[in-house]
Amino acid sequence: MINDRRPPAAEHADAYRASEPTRQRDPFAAPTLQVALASETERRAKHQRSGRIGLLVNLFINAPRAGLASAALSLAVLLATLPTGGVLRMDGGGESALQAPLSVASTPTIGAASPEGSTEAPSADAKAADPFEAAEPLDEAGGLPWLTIIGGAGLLFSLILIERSRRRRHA
Amino acid sequence: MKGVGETEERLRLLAAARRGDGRAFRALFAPDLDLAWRIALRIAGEPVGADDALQEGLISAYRALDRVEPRNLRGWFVRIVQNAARDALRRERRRPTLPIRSGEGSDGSDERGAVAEPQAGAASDPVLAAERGELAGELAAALEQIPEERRTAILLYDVDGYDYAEIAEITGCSVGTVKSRISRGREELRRLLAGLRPGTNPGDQALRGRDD
Repeated sequence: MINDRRPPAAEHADAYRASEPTRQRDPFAAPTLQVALASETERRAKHQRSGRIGLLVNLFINAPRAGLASAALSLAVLLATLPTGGVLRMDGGGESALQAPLSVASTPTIGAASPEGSTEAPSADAKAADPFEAAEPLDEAGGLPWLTIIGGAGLLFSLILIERSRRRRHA
Repeated sequence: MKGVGETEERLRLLAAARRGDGRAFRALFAPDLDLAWRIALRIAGEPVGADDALQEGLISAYRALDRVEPRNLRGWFVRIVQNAARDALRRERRRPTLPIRSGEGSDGSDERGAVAEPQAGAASDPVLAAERGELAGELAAALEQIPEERRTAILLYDVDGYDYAEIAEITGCSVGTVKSRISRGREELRRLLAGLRPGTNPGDQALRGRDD
């Protein structure tokens, strides 16, 4: 918005203004600009179409290397500790140590080992003989849940770091 | 005054431009094209360079539309064009090329006259035109010797006629900084112009200032 209150004293300024060229070309008519804007529009549309997978790929591409390395390490720790903790025990009979005592009476194979007609839960000896029970390895590896927790916390921390970095870059 | 609170219309255009509407993008920055071009011209020194900077600035602005805060769009856009002009100048300095000139001006001060549009009054009075050309050349030569931010502030205030608040908005700094730049720039200009014409003190009347 031009200020009209300017006094007409400045001869140099007036002369300068009079000698200054004015814009002649319409930048939007230039083919270079039209092509650049069209390609940018296309890129944006493609980006929108790619949806969540595209966002994830972009997140990985733009993530700081340190954050990614930390996340990978934490994930490796998490995966290495998980099988010895909970997942492996699921492989044998599809039950965890906590679920087994509750369902043992209704399982035909285990039910056959107990006295006929008995509705009581199996004794401590029967439990110990059960090949699907894995209470001992869990006790032996008492430190393992800690590694899992550390791995999980590390992974969470790395993801927060990556997200913070993305937001800072975005801002 | 536009700026800190953008108008509803501009916000609507911004939203449409973000969705890929080319017409909305054009309408959004059409009012600022002349100002951005003039600022680029003062950095590049020639209209072709200003055209290129404006074009590059528009492309950069379109790419960054999603990230821009909907405040002071004019200042944001002008600074993008300004940076494009500076980058082009830096590239040119690194790889100097021989300019193709259609005019035959022997000294640097005549270059402004060569690219300037003929003025109606000047065309009818050759003496007035010559005098104006001389004054413009003197000011241009003096302006080249002061820092760019002071030059920009002085030209926006004394030549283009913007007020302090508008200049602050365009350049992205505080009103106090703008006042300081103008004041210091004028002092330097007075000294430089007095040196060009010993015996007289043209700077006193040249950019005496609107606030005197």
